Amino acid sequence: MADAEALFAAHQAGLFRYLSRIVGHQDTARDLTQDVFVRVAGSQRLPDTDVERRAWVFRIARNVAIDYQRRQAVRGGAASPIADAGRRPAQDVSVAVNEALASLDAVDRDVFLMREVGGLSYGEIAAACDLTLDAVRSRIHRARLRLRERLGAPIAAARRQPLRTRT
Amino acid sequence: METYDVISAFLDNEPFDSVELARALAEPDGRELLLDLVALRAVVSKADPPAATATSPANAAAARRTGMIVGFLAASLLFAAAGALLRQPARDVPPKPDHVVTFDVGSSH
Repeated sequence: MADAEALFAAHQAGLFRYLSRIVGHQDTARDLTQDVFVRVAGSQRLPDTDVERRAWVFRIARNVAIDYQRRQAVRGGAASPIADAGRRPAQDVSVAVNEALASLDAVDRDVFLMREVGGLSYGEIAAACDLTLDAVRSRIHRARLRLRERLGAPIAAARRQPLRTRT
Repeated sequence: METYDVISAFLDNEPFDSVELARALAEPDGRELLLDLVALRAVVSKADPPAATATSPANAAAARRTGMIVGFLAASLLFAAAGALLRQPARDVPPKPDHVVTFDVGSSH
């Protein structure tokens, strides 16, 4: 249990960011992050290595998100990140990003967000999503190309500012 | 068409072929893509997910269901109370006798 708590604590922030992007709502993401903890805590045995553990936790998070989205689909609710009506103009970029993410293929979005907001390596993403390394590399790049197409204006604006390769 | 996925691998600190990267960055399209992807990373990292106070679809559906249940229970209680009131006799009117018992003085059975 202590190991599970430590593992969860180490990845809680990344999990929450990932789930927030996947389900599109922080309140829901908070609940789902707790669901991940329950599943991690209830596990009899944790994976051996740090890489395996991280991939395992995100695999659980992905399954929790998929379950949630299936339930939403049955209920007729929105299953993907959506833009909120009534946002202020200053939030337009966030809305555009959320809409662009929602337009991606579900697996492409998963691998992109695991990399970009979860901070997972290609190897960890491959383990979490049952993909090959080449598939992860290809899907992440395809997601970026798609987002580049859809977010031309915010990207152009960002390029007028000083940039970092790591944020 | 070249997709330059070596540029993504480079940005992600993953193993990449240096010759392939050099070839990609020798092209104007490749250099543009590198800068756009760095900018994209900044855009995505700064964008907020929908606000914490926003009502999620799950919460909204639950709220709708709760509202319907509460409404149904309230209506049921109202009908039940109205029915009970209608069946209850008025309290300020004495009940009408349905039979009369008479006693005759001095008689015994």
